[in-house]
Amino acid sequence: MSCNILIVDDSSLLRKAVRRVAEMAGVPAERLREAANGREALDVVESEWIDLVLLDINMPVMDGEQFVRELRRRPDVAQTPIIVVSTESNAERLQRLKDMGVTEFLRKPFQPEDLCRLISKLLGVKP
Amino acid sequence: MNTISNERLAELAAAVLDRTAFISAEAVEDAAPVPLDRVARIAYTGPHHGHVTLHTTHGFLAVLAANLLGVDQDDANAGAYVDDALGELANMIGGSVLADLGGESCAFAIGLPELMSTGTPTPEGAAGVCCLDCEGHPLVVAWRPAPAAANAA
Repeated sequence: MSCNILIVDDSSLLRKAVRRVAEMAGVPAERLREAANGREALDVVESEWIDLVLLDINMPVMDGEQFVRELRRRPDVAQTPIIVVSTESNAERLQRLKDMGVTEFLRKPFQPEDLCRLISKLLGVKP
Repeated sequence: MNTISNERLAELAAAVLDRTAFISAEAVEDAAPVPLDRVARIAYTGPHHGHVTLHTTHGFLAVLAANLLGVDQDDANAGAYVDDALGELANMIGGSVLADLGGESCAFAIGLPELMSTGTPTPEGAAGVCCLDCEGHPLVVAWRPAPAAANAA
């Protein structure tokens, strides 16, 4: 599979755990990128093409909501699919993310197969 | 104010461990008599504010990190992630508590996990406390809504 996935989470442990699930979904390790906050994630999307973002919300420096807002302002990458993977349960915030076109939501704690299924669905591949 | 019983707190914490790391946890009367020297807290705001605190051991966090990474529990790599494991566990248990408190129209906002200096778990001020046996490792979870006066401030 030649899709690039960007994993955005301030926990390096969670980035590694999500990376493992993405590899289970058939994404080669060399296609996986990581960022520890929204600011780092914007740097990545500005430097290379990203097919899917797996995004935490509650992060220091720039949180996930700010990242989505910034991403949607950039015409060349505004349509990038996003799966929010977060503990976020605030109804207003989740609605704002939906309004900004977040594709899917996965509440932490999640089961690996649930994330694997969503990645496969959005990238059109079978694990 | 909505509330969470000790039993419900234990259910939520056990569900997090099961779903995330395939760790089986059951509620017990008291934590094992070992120093619970790893502590994390996550605060929240909203209709009321407060925080959820976790007390556990380095050994349990190493097991949790290994399971999240999908490596053997004695893998040296897992030891490098114990702080991250504690923060993420606080994040997920705190998030589950807020989802339970807030329901479909949840108006709570969760903060970022803080790793605390060593402290002994005390039930003072806690509206909910549970002790869990996590496959032989202890975990204490306490939910502390701020006093009404502090919430009104």
